[in-house]
Amino acid sequence: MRISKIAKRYARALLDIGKEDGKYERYGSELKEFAKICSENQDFLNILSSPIFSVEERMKILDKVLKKINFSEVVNNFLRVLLERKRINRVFEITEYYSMLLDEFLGIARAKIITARPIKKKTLDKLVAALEKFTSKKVEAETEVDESIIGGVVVRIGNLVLDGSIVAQLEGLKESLKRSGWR
Amino acid sequence: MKKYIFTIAFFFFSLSACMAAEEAGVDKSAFTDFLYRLLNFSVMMVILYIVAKKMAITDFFSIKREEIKRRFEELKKQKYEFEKKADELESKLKEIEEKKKEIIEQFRLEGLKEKEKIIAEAKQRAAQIMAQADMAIQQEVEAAKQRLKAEIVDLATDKAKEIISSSIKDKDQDKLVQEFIEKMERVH
Repeated sequence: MRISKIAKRYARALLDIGKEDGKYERYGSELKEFAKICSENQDFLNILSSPIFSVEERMKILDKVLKKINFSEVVNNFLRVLLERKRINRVFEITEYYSMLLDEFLGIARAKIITARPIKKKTLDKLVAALEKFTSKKVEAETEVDESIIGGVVVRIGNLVLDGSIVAQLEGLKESLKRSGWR
Repeated sequence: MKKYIFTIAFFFFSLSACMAAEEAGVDKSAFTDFLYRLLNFSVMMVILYIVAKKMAITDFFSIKREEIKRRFEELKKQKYEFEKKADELESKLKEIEEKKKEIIEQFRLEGLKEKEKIIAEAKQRAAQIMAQADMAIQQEVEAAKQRLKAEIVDLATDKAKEIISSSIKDKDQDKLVQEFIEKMERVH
């Protein structure tokens, strides 16, 4: 997802508040929860961002929902500000960037580990430990099975991709054979 | 004057001849007739002479002759000049003929040179075309080789994927992950 400058600014502002009161993790999880509610109830987000309804009307709807969820006052106010300034539709971008900033602040690297077969717990732990050593960060791993890679492992950490799959090795061999003076 | 005297003399001679003839007993009337005729002839001759003298016939013929002579001389001169002119033209014609031969020879030599040049250029062009054709053929062959090679490599890779997919075991997977970890540790 492409994150706009506006979304980055809002996420940074919320994290600054969180850093001040030490509740940055809570704010992050509350933002994620709100983003989840919005993605599961697209109509709700449509109403909140629709100019057909007045800001007051939309604010009443948001308040009703927030009362039921019981978020922290800071996040409630943050969401109200987003609504007032017609930025509520950017909540997904803000949440993602907040998560990235929080990971960076906490020294967490989120790794997606792709294997052709389900990875054993012992092997995964070893891999995570190696990745933590490699990135010098705490690694939170998410696993995925993809048979198309045939064997080996592919790790994605942000923009970094470490490809140790059989497919990648074969593709590398193929390109090398095509480039070389093989006869 | 001499002529007049001669005429008068002739007249008196004729008269005395008549008188003599008369004395000799010749027929008088025939003699008189002859005398008259003679007289008539003499008078006519005198008249003719005088008229001729007056009309300057001799001069006329003399002038005519001179004119003809002059004309003849002119024509002779003209003939000479025309002959000279003809000689000149003939020599000029010969020169032109020679010049013509020279020009033809020159053109022939130039034509030969041009022919040789064209042949040399054509040979050079043919050599270039041949070289280009050789190069194109080589390139085509090389491209075909590369395509074939790529196709073989693709097929080999696909086959390798197929074989590995069907033969890979959990143990192999663990080994691959372990190798990946070791590689990462080595890089770090």
